[in-house]
Amino acid sequence: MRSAFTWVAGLMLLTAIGTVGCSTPRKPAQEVEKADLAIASANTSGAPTDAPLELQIAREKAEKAKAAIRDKDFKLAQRLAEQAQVDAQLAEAKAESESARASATELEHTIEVLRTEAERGVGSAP
Amino acid sequence: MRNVWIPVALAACIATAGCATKSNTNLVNAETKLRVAEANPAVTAHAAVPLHDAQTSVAAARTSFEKGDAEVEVDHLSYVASRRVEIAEAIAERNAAQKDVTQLGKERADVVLEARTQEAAIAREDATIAEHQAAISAFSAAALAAELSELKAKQTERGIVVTLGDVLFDVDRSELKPAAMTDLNRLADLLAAEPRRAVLIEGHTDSTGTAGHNDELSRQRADAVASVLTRRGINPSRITTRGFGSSSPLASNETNAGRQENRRVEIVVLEATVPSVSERSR
Repeated sequence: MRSAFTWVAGLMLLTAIGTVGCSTPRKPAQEVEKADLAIASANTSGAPTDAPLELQIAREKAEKAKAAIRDKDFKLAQRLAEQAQVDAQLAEAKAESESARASATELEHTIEVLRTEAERGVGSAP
Repeated sequence: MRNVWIPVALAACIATAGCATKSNTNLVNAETKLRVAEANPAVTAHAAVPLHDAQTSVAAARTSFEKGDAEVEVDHLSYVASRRVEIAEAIAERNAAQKDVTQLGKERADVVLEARTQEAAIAREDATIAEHQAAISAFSAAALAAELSELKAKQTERGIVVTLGDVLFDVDRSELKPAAMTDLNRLADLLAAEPRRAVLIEGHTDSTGTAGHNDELSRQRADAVASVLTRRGINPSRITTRGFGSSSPLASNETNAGRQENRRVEIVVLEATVPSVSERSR
């Protein structure tokens, strides 16, 4: 009974130490992974042509984040990875916005052409 | 006296604190950008969730600054917050454009439908016109048939045959009697109305007299009919004349009635084709 209590107390102590340990910089593997995913997603959108600058910045920051991990500068790595992620997301959103706007403009043009043709068709009808 | 100094001291404290707290340019920029985005109805309407993310991000940067975190950390959080505001704006623009695409797609479908409806209306009009034309040509065919029955024309394998009898010529002469003119005028009108039809004019005699004379007489009578039609405005290139002499009798040459039947000019109105040059020269 007494030994069981000792075990529980010991476990609680270890948990407390673990929690404290978490507050110190850890390896930001998850952030780097998210940045890579965001870049890959932007790459498959129109970003390489429509938002190349933002995409390039994102790629560079992701590379720097990996270098910082190798240098054990985890805090810097985390910041770079987080920035790379939002840079890539911005690149993708901008590209999608461009392409949607282009589609809308093209449709407007198509409708105009159709209207003109329809009017001409009626005009030349026998 | 003590009561007076308390607010003064408080104000001094606040002022001192304010001066001591250096502002962060990147944080101020992020907050300014956020206010612009929040004031944009397109962003609040089309990018509510990304805008909320941006607001959370800006608030986190502000908290970090208030906590007195290192400048590099506040700069970093402000950068991320600024980007999130820009992402919200870009997504708002994308969603608005996609909404336009959907709307324009419907509009295009409407325009296409309208065009098809108009085409169908035109097609119906065309069909009505075709019906009218068919009615007109049926009418003209009926008129032609009526004309031909006046001329006592016969429909044969070769075409419509109008026969001018012997009584229209004097014996052994090729001049037409005035009585023939009524029929020939009617025939000329008919041919003028049917400009694509060619005409064969064939002279025939009975077996009295020499073959050479009969051939000559039958050819001259055919020519006489042709010249009347030509004077009435029928193009000579549509007319072919032949003299058959006594070679194609309709009846026996043994009787008066038979011989009279054999002396004739047949006018064959061909189907809607103009005869070839070689046929005409025969």
